[in-house]
Amino acid sequence: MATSLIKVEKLKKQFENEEFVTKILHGLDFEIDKGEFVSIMGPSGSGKSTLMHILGFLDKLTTGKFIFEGQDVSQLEDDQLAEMRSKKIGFVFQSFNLLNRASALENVMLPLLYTNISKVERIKRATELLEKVGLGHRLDHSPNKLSGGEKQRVAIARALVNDPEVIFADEPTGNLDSKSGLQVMKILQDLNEDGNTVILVTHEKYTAEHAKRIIKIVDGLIVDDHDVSKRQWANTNGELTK
Amino acid sequence: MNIIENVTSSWEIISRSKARSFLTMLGIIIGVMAVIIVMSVGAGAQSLILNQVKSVGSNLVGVLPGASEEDGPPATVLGIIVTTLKYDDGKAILKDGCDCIESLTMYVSGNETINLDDVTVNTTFTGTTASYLDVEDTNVVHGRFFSEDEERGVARVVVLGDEVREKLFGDQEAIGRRIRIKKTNFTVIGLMKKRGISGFQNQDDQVFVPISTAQKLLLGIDHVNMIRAKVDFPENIDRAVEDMESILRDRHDLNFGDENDFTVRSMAQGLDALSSITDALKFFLVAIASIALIVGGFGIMNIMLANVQERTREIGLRKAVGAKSSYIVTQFLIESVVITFLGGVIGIVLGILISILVAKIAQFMGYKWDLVITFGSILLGSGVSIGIGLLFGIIPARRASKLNAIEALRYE
Repeated sequence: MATSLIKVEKLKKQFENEEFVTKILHGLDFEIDKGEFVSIMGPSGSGKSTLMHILGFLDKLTTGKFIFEGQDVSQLEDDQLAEMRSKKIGFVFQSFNLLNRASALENVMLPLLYTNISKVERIKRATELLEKVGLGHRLDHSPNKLSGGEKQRVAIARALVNDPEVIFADEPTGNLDSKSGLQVMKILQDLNEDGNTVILVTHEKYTAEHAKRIIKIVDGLIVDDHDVSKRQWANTNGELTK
Repeated sequence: MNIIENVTSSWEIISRSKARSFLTMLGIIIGVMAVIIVMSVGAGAQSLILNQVKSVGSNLVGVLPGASEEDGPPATVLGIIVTTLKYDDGKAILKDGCDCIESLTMYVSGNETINLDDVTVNTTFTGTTASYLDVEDTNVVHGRFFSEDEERGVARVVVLGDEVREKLFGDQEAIGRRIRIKKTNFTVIGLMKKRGISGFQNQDDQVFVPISTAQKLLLGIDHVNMIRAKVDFPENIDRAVEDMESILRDRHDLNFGDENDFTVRSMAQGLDALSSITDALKFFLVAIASIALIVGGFGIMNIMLANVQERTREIGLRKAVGAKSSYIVTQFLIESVVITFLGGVIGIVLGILISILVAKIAQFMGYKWDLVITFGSILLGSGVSIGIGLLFGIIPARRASKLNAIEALRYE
């Protein structure tokens, strides 16, 4: 049997300062396989974002085990974390986090700046991905000339550019109108259909149900973990493909 | 990401916010410009001063009455009247000194009013010897200078400087006319060539009379204010100085161990002393300009720190997509260095242009002003600006690299 992509055992996380110890995650156990589409769902303050940060190599766990592709990655140094992010992870943020000074193409190319990929190849890959998310005609546009939905699609292209093992989407529809949100969910579903592993973090049940599986977290504990029985399909009536 | 890409990407960042980048650079521009201008104008002013002194003649050796410390000024300069130097001392030097002393002249001087009918002019009169023309390397344009007989014989003859002639006679013929100096009639026998300002003195605003005449009729003294000898080659100056000292010591009955009651100075020594003064001044000015550079450096640090603050989210994002801390440090450092280097280049160009302008204006005004822009000052300017970029860029760059990616992404 193949090893799972992500496996955590007794994962705990606490933040400390001089006065307080704040316990966020109280011991989580789960596995996520390659090709899954998982929603991590929970109210704000539940610890779902912290969990995403740990799984996305942005943060370190306090105790427990984190196995990624069969390797124990529980105790990596900062530079090793950066390398994992560079090679294995793609992020889509609620607030897009695009650089307004740079064009859409440059934004998508950004993660490749920190790899050994040649400039020609970077431009080629970024262009292809922008075409894939339906923005082939917007390559030279600055993000502040794009609509919210278009921005998030640029961000998705950026998340894909380093060919990651896992795509993390942190409330990707949170700042979007329902139509743009739908477009974004459609892209994520299409990506998953193509074999990509997608982990969605959200507090909305409806959005969460676009995934195949929901892990529900309340107060730092998993309270529910099951496959979605009635899955939502984002239908954009083919608008994206124009 | 290699260095070239790093530089081009920071160039793009800088060129996208031109106004802010320019303000950031301003401190460095002004600092580098100031260093170059100060060094150039300093060198130009130095050349002007030294040229002034050299125009008197650099192979001249002067004897002043009164002792002096090795590097201090002679007593006469301090206003003390010393009467030990005599006309015969000069004649003895010429007679007994080495052959390298080509010619020798002596001076006394004072201020007096000169009358021609109703016209009155106040001017300097110089009592000197017939050999004045050789030593000072000048000549008369009309008439003649006085002879050695007249020099010794208290002759009432006068040679006019160009400005004095102009004031007294205008377009009239001057040779052969009589003028009154201190109630004594003098006959004008010659007119000096126009010489301009040399040795910090207007050489045209004076009249020349035989030294004995000046001593006896105008001043009532029997000493001389200065002896000046012209040496044939600069290599012989030391020998001439030695000869002059031993002759004078002998004539003044000074015993071994007694201090000289006169001071022998060569123009070369004077130039050395003057150079060291102007060098010190230049150094002082460069030090002041350097303060401007350092202030500029702090300006850059300030703005780069604000820059880090402003771009917190960008830094968080770069980290989230895989940038190691070292990349962030490099990026911000290179940005500071590119900004300062650019400022340095602009400063160098402006500095050179202004230096040229200053030199042109000075030359236009008739000064012997050399345009001096040394490679050293340019190297100093650009080196210091890059150094400042690195030095003052380190703190903001380190701060940027230490940001926590998660917190930085949340930063509003």
